[in-house]
Amino acid sequence: MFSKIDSIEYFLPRKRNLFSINFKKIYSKTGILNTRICNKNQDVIDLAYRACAKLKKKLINNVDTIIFVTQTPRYLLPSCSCILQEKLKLKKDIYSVDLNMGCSGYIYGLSVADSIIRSGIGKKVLLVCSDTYSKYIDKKNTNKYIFSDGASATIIKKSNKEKIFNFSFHTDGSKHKSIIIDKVNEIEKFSMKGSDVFAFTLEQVPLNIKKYLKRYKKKISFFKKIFLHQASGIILDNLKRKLNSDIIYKDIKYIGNTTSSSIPISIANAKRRGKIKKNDNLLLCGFGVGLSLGITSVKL
Amino acid sequence: MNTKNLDSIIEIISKSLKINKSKINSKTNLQKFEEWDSLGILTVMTALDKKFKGSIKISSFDKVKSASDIQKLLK
Repeated sequence: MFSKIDSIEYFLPRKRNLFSINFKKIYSKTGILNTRICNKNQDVIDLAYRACAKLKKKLINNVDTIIFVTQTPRYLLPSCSCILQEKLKLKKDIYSVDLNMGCSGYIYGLSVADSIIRSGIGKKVLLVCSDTYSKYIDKKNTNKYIFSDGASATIIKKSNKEKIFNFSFHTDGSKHKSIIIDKVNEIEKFSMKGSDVFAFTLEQVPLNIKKYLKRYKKKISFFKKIFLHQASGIILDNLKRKLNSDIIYKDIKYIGNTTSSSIPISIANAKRRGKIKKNDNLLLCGFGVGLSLGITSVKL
Repeated sequence: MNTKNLDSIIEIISKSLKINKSKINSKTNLQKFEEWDSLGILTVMTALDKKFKGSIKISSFDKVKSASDIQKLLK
């Protein structure tokens, strides 16, 4: 038994006003006009619920697995997936689990979903990615020009044909402080060492994609589009140069970096805009916090 | 020391950060420039990666303080 992506929906909260004296200079590098920010009384569960509510009712009713990818959970415990089960009024004989993963989280989530279906544990998975980094990024932190709050909901179903296939992963924990939420004077704050993350991305993403293609005996021309994590304009432009490929999809200008949701959001938008269609092969690659990286292939 | 590479590195820093070349030599502490901020560093890293076609070890860029330090990252 194999698995396939059935549908993807997402929810983005209101636009954040990014105007500042340096905005033009910042925009030239980030490629981001708007980031998104949730209200004070909203959190990852609320955003996830709004994304799930966009899915067709009959699709969500008999979900037997919830995978909730987040790094900004409502509580340290219990897990967000349990809270979402109740909020969506899903059945109680259900497998629910949280994954503490960031920008590579969608690929890790897909690997768990695919394994659950292949093993026969479940038949229909709700993969939710939801984060609210804004709660840890204060007004003075320039990362507000990059990161957006947002959530996505993906339904993965069993399939007779293999439509999610060939996973590959990479982890470098020696750089775990490069993107971190840690206590500063007793307050948990987000920080990112841009040069570390940039170097990791520029070196490891092209290298791992090339290794992946070799390992699975595929040429880049096999894929209709490449969906990379929408980290920032400068990163996507550099990866396009390094991979020497014009099939990399860019969808960041009005959305920002929504961490684990960026890949499903860009796939959903590409589909709506007619850039991809049924039976197209897509290469997905998420990378970032960890530092970690995941690659997989999807047939629509 | 390969002065050709060093000249290219200084040229890249000057162009990327829009700082007059005369203000930079091999030992100049780049951290004293306001332009050497996170976006400035990424711009320099991009230009170096383009110029040296991936033969610069950018993963060690966090230790860089001068053009001479950058030269040591050339593989």
